[in-house]
Amino acid sequence: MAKQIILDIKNFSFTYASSQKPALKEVNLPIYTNKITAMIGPSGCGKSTLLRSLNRIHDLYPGNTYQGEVNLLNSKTDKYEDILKLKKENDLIKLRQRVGMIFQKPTPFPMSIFDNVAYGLKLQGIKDKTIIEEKVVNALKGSAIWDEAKDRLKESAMGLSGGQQQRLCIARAVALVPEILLLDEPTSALDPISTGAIEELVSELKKDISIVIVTHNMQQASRLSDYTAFMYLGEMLEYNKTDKIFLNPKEKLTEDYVTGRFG
Amino acid sequence: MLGNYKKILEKSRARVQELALDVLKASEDVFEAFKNGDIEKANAAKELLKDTHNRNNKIDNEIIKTLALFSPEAKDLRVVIAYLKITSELTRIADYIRSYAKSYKMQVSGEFDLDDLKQDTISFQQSTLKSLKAAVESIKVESVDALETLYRKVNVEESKCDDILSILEKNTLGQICINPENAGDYVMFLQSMRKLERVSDRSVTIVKLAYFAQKGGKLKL
Amino acid sequence: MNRLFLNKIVLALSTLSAIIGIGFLFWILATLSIKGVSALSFDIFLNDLVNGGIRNLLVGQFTMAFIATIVGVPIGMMAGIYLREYGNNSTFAMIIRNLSDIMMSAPSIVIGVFVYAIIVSPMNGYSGFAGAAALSIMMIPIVISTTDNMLSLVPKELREAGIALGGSKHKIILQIVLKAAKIGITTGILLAFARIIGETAPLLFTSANSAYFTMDLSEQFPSLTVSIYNLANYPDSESRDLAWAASFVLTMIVLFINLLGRYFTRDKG
Repeated sequence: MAKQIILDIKNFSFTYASSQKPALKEVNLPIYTNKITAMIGPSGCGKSTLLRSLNRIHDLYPGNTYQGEVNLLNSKTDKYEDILKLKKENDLIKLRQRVGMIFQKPTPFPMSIFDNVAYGLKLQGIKDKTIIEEKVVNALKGSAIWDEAKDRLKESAMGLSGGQQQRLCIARAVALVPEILLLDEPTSALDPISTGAIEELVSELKKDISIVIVTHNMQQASRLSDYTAFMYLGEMLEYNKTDKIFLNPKEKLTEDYVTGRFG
Repeated sequence: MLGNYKKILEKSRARVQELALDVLKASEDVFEAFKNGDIEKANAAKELLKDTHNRNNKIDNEIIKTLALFSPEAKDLRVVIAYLKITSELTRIADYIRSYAKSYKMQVSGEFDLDDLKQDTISFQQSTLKSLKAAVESIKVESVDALETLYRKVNVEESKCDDILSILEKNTLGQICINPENAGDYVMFLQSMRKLERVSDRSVTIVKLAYFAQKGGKLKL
Repeated sequence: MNRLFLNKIVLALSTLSAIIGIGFLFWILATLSIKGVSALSFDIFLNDLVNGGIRNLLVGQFTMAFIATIVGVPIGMMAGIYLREYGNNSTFAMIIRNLSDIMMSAPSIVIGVFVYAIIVSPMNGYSGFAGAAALSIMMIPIVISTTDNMLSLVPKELREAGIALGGSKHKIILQIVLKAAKIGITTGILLAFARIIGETAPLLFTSANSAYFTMDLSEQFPSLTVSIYNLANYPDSESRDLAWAASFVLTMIVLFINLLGRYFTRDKG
């Protein structure tokens, strides 16, 4: 089966509003469909900046500049559309419904568990209660939190533990059936058992969703991902299949980072 | 436990067990062949073992990949390291069996008469086979008690092999004195027996490795 | 040895200062209670000032305070939301924020005089409207500040999470951010209310006072605070006793609202 690229990042450069130097320099990166692509690198290398460009969330903070293309595959027309060219708020909203994001700190909304997961659906304009309920249940089941949540759907989401909250956030994102899920260090604030549960979940999710994960935990990248990109000082230094990066990295800097000889 | 990790561990385990079973089968065939003078069986054994080095490399590379990607710990780590070394031992054993199969052909086609030594040779091969069986069994087994039993068994068979080998050496030397014109053949025969003796040595190592994997502690081979 | 000794001295001095401060507070409360409770009776809650009670004063004070709240809170909240969510640290937002902070410490009598000039004078008379207006002018900067600060405590990831689900900015603010800051903002409003309900100066030249029960805001309007000021100046002891009673009631009201505010922001951990 030929590998399909769902998101193609071409010569992408990005500069923050408050800074002179670019945070990302001419990055090229293919994201393959139904695969997990990990981005690793020392802090400040630009991996989170790159991730957050993929759903245009930088737009919340005006003044940033960027060049290049980020081409998202339109599954209906089989054509690629440059998401950097989107300007209207409606288009950006539609983009974010196709490209979901999970943050490092679990961010449950101050409402019940059910309302949390239903929020994105209501934003989409779905009003039929039966449909919403069905989607919510499916999302909770698909995020391995149904058993823990089913008896407390109307209770506040703030009463869940950190790992449960993060799985709730994943359920919330997955309810919209996105094509791509962006994970920004999703387990760095969690204990090892919650981390393990979420890694297993992400591993399952890739059957239906393409995943991009930023992690500073190399073992997480090596365990989970199919492809790994090593970034350094805003550049994509090396990109390859994960077992090649961790067994036979080509660049010396990659090898130094992966063997812990950095800094 | 991550799906990929589980899969790769099971694959390595399956491959090592397959290799062990093939080595065992080939040894049985070769010793059968010797007992009944069946060259076909000897050739079949050689066929079964011809790919061993490639299989060894495959298992090794997979284990390296497992170590790089999944950082196994505790028992997982010991098992994976044990597999690495057990595969090595199995490959050496396969080499010995293959070269014995070759020398056997030579033994049968020549005018070489082993009748007096045949009985001892067969007991020697029996003990070798028993030690190998214990080793192959130990790769599958997980209970520490069962492994201790297998360890005792393999040690017993290995000392039996040692004992029988010294008897064979004495008797062969005796035969050389009687039939000095066949001295060359007798010497080659002894050499192949000595090589075969290493099979039981390596079988002991395999059981020690399997025990280390399950019980822990330090490697002491 | 030296450091330990110095430590002990400073500790003693700070404890002494605390005791002095709290001491005065208790002295005030004690005096109020003693003098006020002795003048309390059911009757004063049933009669208007004209009959020696404080019923119309309480109703009047609360009425103007409520009107001020209805006007001041929406304006203050919307301004606070603008500053925090849409201001984006622009110069304009910074100017507004600074002006609002300055207004918070503006002398309340100046606000009273200002409202006198723009409402009382043109209307040729004191009115409850003017009083309420003065109170709301006092309330707005407080609500702006509280809203601004409580919203700033909401982590930015919460907003980003809402946006990442495809929400538009205003929906996220209304449905998520405000809900998250709900308790803090409510408490802020409560405390602002407690503040204005105890104000006297803004009412002096705006609503003045009335001894009668009235709900007509276009006329002079009764208030507890101005009445205390007036009653305290009368020579007869009944008026002065009533002034004590009224002061005690006012203090209890303000105390209660403050305690309510603390209750809402208590550590639920």
